[in-house]
Amino acid sequence: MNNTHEDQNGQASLLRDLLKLRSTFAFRRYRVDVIGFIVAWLFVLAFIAFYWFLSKWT
Amino acid sequence: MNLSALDWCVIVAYLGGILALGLWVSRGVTNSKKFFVGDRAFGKAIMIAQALGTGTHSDQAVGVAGAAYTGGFSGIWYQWLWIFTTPFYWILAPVFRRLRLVTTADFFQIRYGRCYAVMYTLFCLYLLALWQGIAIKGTSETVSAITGLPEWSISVTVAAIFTIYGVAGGLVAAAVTDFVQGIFIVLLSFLVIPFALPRVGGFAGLHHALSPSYFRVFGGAGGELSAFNVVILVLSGLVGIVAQPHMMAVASTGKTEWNCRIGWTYGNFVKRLCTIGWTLTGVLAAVLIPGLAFSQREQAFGMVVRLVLPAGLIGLMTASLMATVMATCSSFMVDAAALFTENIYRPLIAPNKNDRHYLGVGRAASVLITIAGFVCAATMPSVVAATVHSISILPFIGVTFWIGIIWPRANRYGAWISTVASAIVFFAVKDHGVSNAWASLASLLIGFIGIIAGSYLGAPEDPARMRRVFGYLQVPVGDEHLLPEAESE
Repeated sequence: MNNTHEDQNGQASLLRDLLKLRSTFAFRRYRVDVIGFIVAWLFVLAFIAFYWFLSKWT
Repeated sequence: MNLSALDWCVIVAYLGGILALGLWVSRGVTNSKKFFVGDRAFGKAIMIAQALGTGTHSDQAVGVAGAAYTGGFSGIWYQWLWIFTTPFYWILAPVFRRLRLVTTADFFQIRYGRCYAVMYTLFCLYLLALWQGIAIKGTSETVSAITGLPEWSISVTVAAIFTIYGVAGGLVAAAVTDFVQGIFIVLLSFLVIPFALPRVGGFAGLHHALSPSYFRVFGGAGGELSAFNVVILVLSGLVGIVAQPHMMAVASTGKTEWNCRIGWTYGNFVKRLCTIGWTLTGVLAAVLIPGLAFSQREQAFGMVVRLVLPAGLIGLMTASLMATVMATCSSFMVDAAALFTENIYRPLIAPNKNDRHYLGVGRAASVLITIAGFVCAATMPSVVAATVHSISILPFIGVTFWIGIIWPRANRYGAWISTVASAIVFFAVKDHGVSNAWASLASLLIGFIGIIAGSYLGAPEDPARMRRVFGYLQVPVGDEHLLPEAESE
């Protein structure tokens, strides 16, 4: 595996490498994809939690 | 006529202001690249507004409010289904941007050949005209219910305005006006609530007036969407989203990759927030105007607007509803013009003309696609039926995009087999009375099996071309000097 510019900046694409992730996955290589994806899922959970509390609000 | 002089002033000022802004930013649009993709120079705010404006139209607000009117808080899932696909936009945005292409059809051309790209282009021209028709018809119905104006006059007015600034400024005008119209979309979503909530005695009054089932977030009073339906709709939505023709503009026209990620992902999160406002409006309407039949529930939004908003704000709400259709349709119009010019006209009809010629063709195509949208609006039997139809057919092509970016072995034989087989299976299964969800599942499975089988049976695509495509996908825009290394990986 080449140590490319994208590896060093964490900008490699999870989707492009999806079929070979077992051999290529390293957090530092996919850092931007992984962190942003997790944060977006946290937003999803926060939205649903907020909405649930709103439905119970009296 | 239900509007006061103040309401008219607000509407005229809004329409005039948007037209002036659109024409003002159009001054610098002198080449086709700027017209179709805005020179890929948009900042985060414009990208967020573009994702919000293009993806939001008033029939969605009216539909969710109607579902909440009969189903309570669980009515939100008619739009919140897509909340589960939103995180994927973060990892999809760089894929679109790194392709460095003008349209999604360009991707299909380099990936599966010209025939597949032309088929996709024709499919998208139909889809964009249909979506314009849905947006124009849905908004005109709602605005007509609020104002008492005839539907045709509303349709013609909004279409004339977005066509004038869209033809002049292309994606630049569409995106900049989306920024202003995005603010109006947020206003539309929450404007009714502070006026309606005190009338019902606040949240305590809501709980007192409605049965507890109205306040269940999952499986409430309506119970119209089963868990199986939800899972299949989310899966179909995720597979189909990449085939939507406007996604190349929404996901790839930012100045940086980061702007593209932020814009597409968080523009849609703003829409999810607005959806909460639409649902609350529907629940409040259930208390304020009880007794509407199930078939009339989508009138609840317009009725509660008329009931609770004072003069001036009804005009603001009407302007906001018009904002949703103009934001959506101006973007669709430019996307359709780009598809026609870049994927039909330039390669097949008139190659090797100068850029000014293609800019003129793009502008003429913009007008024609809006006229086609009008024809669709006039002939479609129902907005809801047309929306379901358009969502159901997108995965036929979405499968080949997804596999095309992750599997170099995928080829044109597999792509054609996948698309044709999944379409046949979907319509054949539906024809036998099977539900939409089961038909979509069968179609998706056949689509994935078809592309894998066809790709193994047919000859591979040119290896050098595939190395180039996958090399591009690895290297962000601006780092092209790294392409040789990426292509060798």
